[in-house]
Amino acid sequence: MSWFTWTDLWMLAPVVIMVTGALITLLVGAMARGAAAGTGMTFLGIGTSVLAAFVTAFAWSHGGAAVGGALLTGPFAVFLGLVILAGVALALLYSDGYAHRMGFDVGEYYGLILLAGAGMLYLVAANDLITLLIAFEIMSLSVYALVAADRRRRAASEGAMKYFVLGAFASGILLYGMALLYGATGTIYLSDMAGVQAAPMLKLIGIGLMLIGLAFKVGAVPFHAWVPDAYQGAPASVTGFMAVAVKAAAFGILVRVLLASGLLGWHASETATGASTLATEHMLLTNVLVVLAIATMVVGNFLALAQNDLKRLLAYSGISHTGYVLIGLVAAMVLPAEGVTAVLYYLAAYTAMTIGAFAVLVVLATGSRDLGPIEDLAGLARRRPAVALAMTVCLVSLVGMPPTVGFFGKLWLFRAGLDAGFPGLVILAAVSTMVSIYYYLRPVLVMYAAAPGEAASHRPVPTAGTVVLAAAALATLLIGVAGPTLYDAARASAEALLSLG
Amino acid sequence: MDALYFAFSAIAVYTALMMVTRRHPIYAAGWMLACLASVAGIFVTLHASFLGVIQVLLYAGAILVLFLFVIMLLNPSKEELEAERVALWQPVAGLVLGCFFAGLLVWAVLGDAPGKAIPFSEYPAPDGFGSTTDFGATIYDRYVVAFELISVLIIAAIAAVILVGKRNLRPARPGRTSEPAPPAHRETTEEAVHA
Repeated sequence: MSWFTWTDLWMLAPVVIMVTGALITLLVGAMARGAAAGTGMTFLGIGTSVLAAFVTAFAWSHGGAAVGGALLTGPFAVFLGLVILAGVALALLYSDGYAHRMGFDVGEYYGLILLAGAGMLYLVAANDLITLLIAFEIMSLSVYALVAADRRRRAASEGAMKYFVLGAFASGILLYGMALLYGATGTIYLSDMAGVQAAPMLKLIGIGLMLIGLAFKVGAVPFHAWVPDAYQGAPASVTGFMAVAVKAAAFGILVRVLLASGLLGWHASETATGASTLATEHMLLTNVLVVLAIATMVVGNFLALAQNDLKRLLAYSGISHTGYVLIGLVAAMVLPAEGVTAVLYYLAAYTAMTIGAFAVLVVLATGSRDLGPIEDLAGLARRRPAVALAMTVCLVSLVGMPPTVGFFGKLWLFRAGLDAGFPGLVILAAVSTMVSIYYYLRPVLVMYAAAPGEAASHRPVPTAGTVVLAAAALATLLIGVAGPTLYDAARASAEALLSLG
Repeated sequence: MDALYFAFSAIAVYTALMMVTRRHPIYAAGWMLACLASVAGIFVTLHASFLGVIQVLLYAGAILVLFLFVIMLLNPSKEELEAERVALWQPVAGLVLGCFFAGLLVWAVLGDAPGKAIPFSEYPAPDGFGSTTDFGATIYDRYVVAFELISVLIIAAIAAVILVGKRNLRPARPGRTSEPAPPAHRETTEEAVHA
């Protein structure tokens, strides 16, 4: 039997394109001289991502296992793949000019963003534990280095070091979980695991350890210790990229791992044999997710209240949003289709609004320094009203106020949580949202009410970054109200994933 | 094989314990070598002879030498080693956590498979299992995609090392903005502002 065919190559094409683009970028970076090199590499990278996005949409949409079972493509992988590639392209676009001013517009910077994108793209479609771990490591390793890209600042090295050490620890736990999962099920293919209940307890522990490893990556409490330092230490362009793309990829594979547990949407009435064991396990796993969600929302929101640094504020805000997405996973334990749909919708919405918020930090970076405290935004509305307006739209969406996509994202998450029978969790999330209004609207207040300060000059902004900002703000405003298109796509992706098994 | 397997396992656990309890890093590295070697022994008793050889070559060889180089470069003095106190709660917390996970594992295995311990002799390995030939044939056939992905991982690692470690990230060239591009390697006091 042949393990590799032309069809397999076509299925791998999105990843191959990303890796090829990264290699070309690395080569160009090694040879090109002059100011235009950075812009050239930016657009080379964007071209690569766009091509990869088209190929992803064509190659992966039919679904099914490929490459001897190593890949499980389908609408779910396409949906998250496109979200990730959008994150890659936008992060590359606003890096144009910014990377030059910060002193790291080298081939390795652009190449590593593309390589991280390749790893994430593979990760959301990975079906066997071996390539899953390798893709996870490609993503992680690239992002660790990107965090340390700005080497003039010690905070960058510190953040990268913490991220690296804790990330390596997380990878170790993930790997341990995989070993137990393989031992319990006798297969390395996630899609084959759901039905195997030969050793349910060992399997549950394996799933639990993988859950911990992935919870590190999405920054769920109590595995969030690296988030504030890494987010603050990294250059704003990298922080925006890792906030959206790493989270989308890690949540994607988390959904798949939970699906492999065979407990997603499990009902006592469905199975006769071993029902009591499975009922206990279903309850255990659900409760673990509930505790994670509560801790993440509460800690993220309350610690964000005390923050004065913009990037650190957005770091804690990112933690709290991880908590909201976890509600979707809790709901998926009872109502898989609704829960996974809400998770997918929210990841797409989160990408739009968060990239927008970080694009503001990128375009306003003065000289070779990122914005620091919130006061750096003082008087922005008077000097650059359009930028202030776009930032306001993104922050309002992060709160979850009505016309924006953030509102609809929260609506679907909360509705899934209510339908699945977790009213307490949803009430807590609503209260957390109320609390978050305070810290999200503080920058808005500073932008509109405070007089322009001495610290920030708010120089004319680079065009590429403003394009990203405008696109993200428009998407944040329009996706939600333009109609149910995104919801339908998320719903179709979730249902396709669940039917693939 | 069973007796050998358990002997190697016992040695691995003992040497691992000795490794984490040594104060001087050189001794810890020595115990680590013994630990890695006994893990290689476990692989061999499980018919994975190629893996055992790789374990010795890579871990006990290359990686341990790397460890020793780092220890020698840092060259911690006796005072520095003495100065580093370990709070009492740390080993206690480690012990509790370790026992918890070990207990969980034992509980799960016993709960799933009560009285199902099967001696290795009843699980004969297929002919050629774990040999170099078998290993190579598997890795370049069934797992060829994983193998290629590993090379992508290595490319990412190389690019990461260059980005983090290269002395002059960007050779001097005319900047495109009016202000001069900042030198790539400069310690600033910005931390104070950002902290």
